[in-house]
Amino acid sequence: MHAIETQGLTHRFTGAEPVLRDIRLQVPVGSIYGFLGPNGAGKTTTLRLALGLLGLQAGRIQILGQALESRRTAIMRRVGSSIESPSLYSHLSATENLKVWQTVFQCPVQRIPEVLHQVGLSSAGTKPAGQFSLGMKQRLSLAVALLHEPELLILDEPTNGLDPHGIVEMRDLLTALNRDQGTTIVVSSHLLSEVERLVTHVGIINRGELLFQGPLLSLIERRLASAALVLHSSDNARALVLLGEAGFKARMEGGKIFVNGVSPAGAASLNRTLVLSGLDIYELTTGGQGLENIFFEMTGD
Amino acid sequence: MAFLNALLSERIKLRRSLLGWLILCGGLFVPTIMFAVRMRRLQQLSVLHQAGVYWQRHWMESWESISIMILPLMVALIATLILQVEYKNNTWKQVHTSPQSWGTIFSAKLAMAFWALLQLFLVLNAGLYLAGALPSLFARGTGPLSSPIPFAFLVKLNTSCFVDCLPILALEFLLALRFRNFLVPVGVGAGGWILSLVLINTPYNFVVPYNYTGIDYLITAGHRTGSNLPASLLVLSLGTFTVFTAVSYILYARHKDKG
Repeated sequence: MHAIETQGLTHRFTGAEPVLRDIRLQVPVGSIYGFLGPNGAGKTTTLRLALGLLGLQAGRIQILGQALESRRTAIMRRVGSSIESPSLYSHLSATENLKVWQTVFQCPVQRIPEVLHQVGLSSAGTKPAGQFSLGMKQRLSLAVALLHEPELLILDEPTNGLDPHGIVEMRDLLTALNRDQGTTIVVSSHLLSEVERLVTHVGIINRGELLFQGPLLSLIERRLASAALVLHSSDNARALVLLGEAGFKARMEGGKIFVNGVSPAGAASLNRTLVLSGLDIYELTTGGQGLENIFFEMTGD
Repeated sequence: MAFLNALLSERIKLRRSLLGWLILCGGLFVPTIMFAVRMRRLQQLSVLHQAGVYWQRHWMESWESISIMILPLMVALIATLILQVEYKNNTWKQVHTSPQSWGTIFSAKLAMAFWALLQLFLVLNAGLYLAGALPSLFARGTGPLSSPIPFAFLVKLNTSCFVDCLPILALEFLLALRFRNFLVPVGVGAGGWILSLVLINTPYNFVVPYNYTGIDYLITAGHRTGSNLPASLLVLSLGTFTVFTAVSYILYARHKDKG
């Protein structure tokens, strides 16, 4: 079962090239899904389509097992969202902002202090939202999204404007929501490093095309597969021959040896081979591609 | 129930907004001037009271500028402000991702515009009453409020004028809903009002809805017969209101970009 499932999602703004091409998003229920891509890649457009904020031009969208086009109102009762910049009534206090949505969602009034406490704004309840810092506005936006205890939470760049401490707090809060209440969370970001420690699943989009989608572990495995072992020894030329004879795919670059596709056990075996052949090992490190590099490689940045 | 909840949430949104001040200032503008006029002519009050038509005259004298100037402009501003709350705060996207149908959102906002217009009429009438009653406290020999208040006349005047405002309200609502830039509804409102002043003495004055309150006043005051109108003002106002509201809703519901 997917919390969000799209098929053939294609979208274009007036007279322009498509901004989304055949997007097949699959967000598993119970996951924290990091929707990644550089600015202008199509993340926000996809999320706006998934929330019904943009008219569907081509494709199909299912949210929590229901077709968005025909069941929008029922679906939105189970979804919380914060898209792009915070949506707050600046002349109203934090409590009044929440009261607006508590009235619409008809959730218990005590949820207002609860969510304010959850996002760390308990002491700012009476201050007009217009006087909040960007970070506080982000928190209040999150409080609005959480108010009715949604099953699915869609957050577009939720850490914008947060300081490092705030980012950690936000991450902890989302993790706890996912763990304790089973809330499925979709978080968009243009930085993999920002959500790497939060998400269980990843979707990478660039120029309107979904380049990768799957568990974070798959991406990590991909990193391992492409990772290279960097080696520097007392006789690199001889080491290269020995490694070739032992079946390793090694190459010399910049005075160092790079060996691709080596597992941790393989690295130990390689080291043993060289040492037993009388070579001194000066350096044996894992290099190559980190997650961020894979992301950049995929998105072509 | 969903409509009632939407209405309550709309009321919270307008707390401490400019709308309250606008209604208060706009509603008390003419009464304040009338109060000043009455205070300057205190000696005439006893004569007016003795004639027994003080209140009717007071209301009709005040209503001329209210119907021709205040109401068309105020209605344009009310409709604009009610919808600007969402544009200004970038909150349409939050409204449109809430579990409310387009119909509920639209009708709750329109109902708030009705409510604001009703408040304007209440402030206008309360202000006019005070503007008429308070000067008599300062005039020697004038029994305060000795003239009977013509309630039936006032109810009829207010009701018909309220209905006359509806086409302006619907048109301004349409524009304010459609355009993020508040200058569009305000500009069209100002332009419509100027056009209504140009046309008011022509047989085609009914073409501009911004004229309906003025035409109604002129007929009530006996300055016009209304024979040039293709239908009664009530029919014209309700018909135009229905058309503008229907177009407004269709454009809103079919708009592809909702925030």
